[in-house]
Amino acid sequence: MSPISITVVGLLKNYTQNQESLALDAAGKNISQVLAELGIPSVLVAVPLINGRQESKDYVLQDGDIVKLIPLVGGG
Amino acid sequence: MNGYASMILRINLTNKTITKEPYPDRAARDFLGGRGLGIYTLWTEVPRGANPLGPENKLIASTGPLSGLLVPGAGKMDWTCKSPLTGGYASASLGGMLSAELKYAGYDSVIFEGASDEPVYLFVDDDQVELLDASDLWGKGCITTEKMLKDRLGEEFQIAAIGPGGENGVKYACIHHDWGRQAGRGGVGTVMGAKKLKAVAVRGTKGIPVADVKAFHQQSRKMFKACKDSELWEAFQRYGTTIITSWCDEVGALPTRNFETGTFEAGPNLYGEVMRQKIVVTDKGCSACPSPCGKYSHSKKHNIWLEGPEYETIGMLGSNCGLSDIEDVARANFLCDELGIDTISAGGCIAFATECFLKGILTTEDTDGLELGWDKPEAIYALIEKIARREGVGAVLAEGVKHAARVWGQGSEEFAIHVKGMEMSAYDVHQATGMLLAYQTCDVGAHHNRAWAITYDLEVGREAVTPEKVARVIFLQHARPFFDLAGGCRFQWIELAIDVTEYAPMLQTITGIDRSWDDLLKLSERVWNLTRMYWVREVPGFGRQWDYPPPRFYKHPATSGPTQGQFTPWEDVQKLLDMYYEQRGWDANGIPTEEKLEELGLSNLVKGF
Repeated sequence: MSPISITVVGLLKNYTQNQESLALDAAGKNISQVLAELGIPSVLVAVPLINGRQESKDYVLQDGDIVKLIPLVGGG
Repeated sequence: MNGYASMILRINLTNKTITKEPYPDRAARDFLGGRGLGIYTLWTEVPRGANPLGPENKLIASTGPLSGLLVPGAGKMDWTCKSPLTGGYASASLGGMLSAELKYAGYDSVIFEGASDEPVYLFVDDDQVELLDASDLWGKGCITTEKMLKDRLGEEFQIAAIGPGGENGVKYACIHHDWGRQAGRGGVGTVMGAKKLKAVAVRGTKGIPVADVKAFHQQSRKMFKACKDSELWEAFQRYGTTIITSWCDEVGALPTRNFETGTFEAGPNLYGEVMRQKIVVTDKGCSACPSPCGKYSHSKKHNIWLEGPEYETIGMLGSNCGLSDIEDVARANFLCDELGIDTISAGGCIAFATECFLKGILTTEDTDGLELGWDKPEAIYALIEKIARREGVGAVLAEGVKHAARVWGQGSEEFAIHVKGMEMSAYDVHQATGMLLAYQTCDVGAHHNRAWAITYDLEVGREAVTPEKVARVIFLQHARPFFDLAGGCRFQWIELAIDVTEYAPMLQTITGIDRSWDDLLKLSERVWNLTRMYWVREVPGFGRQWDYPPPRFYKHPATSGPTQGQFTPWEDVQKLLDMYYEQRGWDANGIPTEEKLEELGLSNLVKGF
């Protein structure tokens, strides 16, 4: 299995030592598990974007997925 | 004046006179434009105690100095009047193309005063301005009216219209434009209807003077590039405001069954990606928008085309009414749009009636035989029609939940979800103290757009009651409404996270006037305090108790989800207000002090009312 590419956007980088791009052995894990591993509070992630589509945090990652974690910004 | 057409149209609907007046210098200097010109005009021209539905009330439609120019999101305008829903200040923001078109025609604002005996519409084609007969349009839906006028006048005319809701005096009737944009809240469409003004049609071909064209183009390119380069653009573009539906459901903020809780078991059926795949046809934006949030949709199930639903409508007509199919929400949305009533208030009123019915406060005798309940789309469609036409139970609900609770009593005041008489928009605030305070103190009633503080709640601790949180709400109440002064949209800042301070040099290249971002925030604070004084002037006994939230959020715990069992204690409600008033320089009753009014240069204006 190859690592999954994860892009972290905006204030979420505060939880990744300012790293924007990460590669994790995350295939088979769901988004919530990945967030927990990274120490990113789930409530601050508005949209987990998987291959350009919004998925739930129960989504189980697969090889080749491209993940972008979008934070809450302003809304409404 | 650079950045302005420098001309205001005054339309007297009683005697059918049309005058063109220079833009008042003081209004431009001290209140900038948009809702600033709106409250300045409301304060100086509409007599104290005016009947909101009488000829003495005025409807002020105003662009700002950004409107019509190549500035990201510069496609908004404001509609201000005395609110028939709340009795206080009403101001509603409208996107689309009308603000730019009005500026191109040579006018920054239109002030409607008096009232016509017969239906009319305003026709503006550059210098040609006329009031024309609208008897054939009266009774028609908003979208139908827009199409009829476009067919009659030409596609390039921009149309704003009311529907049966505004004609029949529904207290939260809206003004419709551009196939699905609305000036939605506070009853601006009701006032338009009371004046027998069915529509406005505008075409303009002129330019707008800019102080430093070269610098303007440079700043414009810089800001558009920042939008397009934003890491957030891709997701926001795809979903618009529905980007937050799933998050709200996850954190317990999605209003569900009249705000009994903030998590909806059928929520996933309403999420942004589901909507995108099921009904969205294309993206739709306003003038000068780099990130169109509008989602133009087609429901095969109901064979309807509409703009939306956007998040607030999904929350209020969807989960808050228990609807579990995005296509049913779309149908309810379409009905409200065509009939010309605000989807937020309509959703609040329908959910309130439903809870009354399920608690036995209403029976089928009261509802004209309708069996109300959660996730009963046919009953919801029927109620929307009844409200718009003021039929039976709809006549009570057309007055808003505050009125309906007074009529139906039996403890229903406990779950009448409003502040100052305006139905709350789509965020459950059982446990989100910043957002709760934002609702309590919003200057039109329980509306989210002045301060969307719920993200901050989640960032710093949703139950926290701290001076920092209060300060954040106040900052938002100045920064976000700045866009309603300037004629712009806040989404490029708050959703794409471009640097908000860039709007200061942007404005300077347009107007030639050197103002820092802090100067603009101060100007916005001046407007905030004048709108507060308007409530003081118009509502007998206005004060602290008008800032109290609905009991549901301080007495009745949320029933499920992450906020289950939680509410905001009454002591915290009081603490929040104490801190808020102190930081604002208001007294303990929530009235701006003389010192604060002096500091903001408002003393002379408000003296002696």
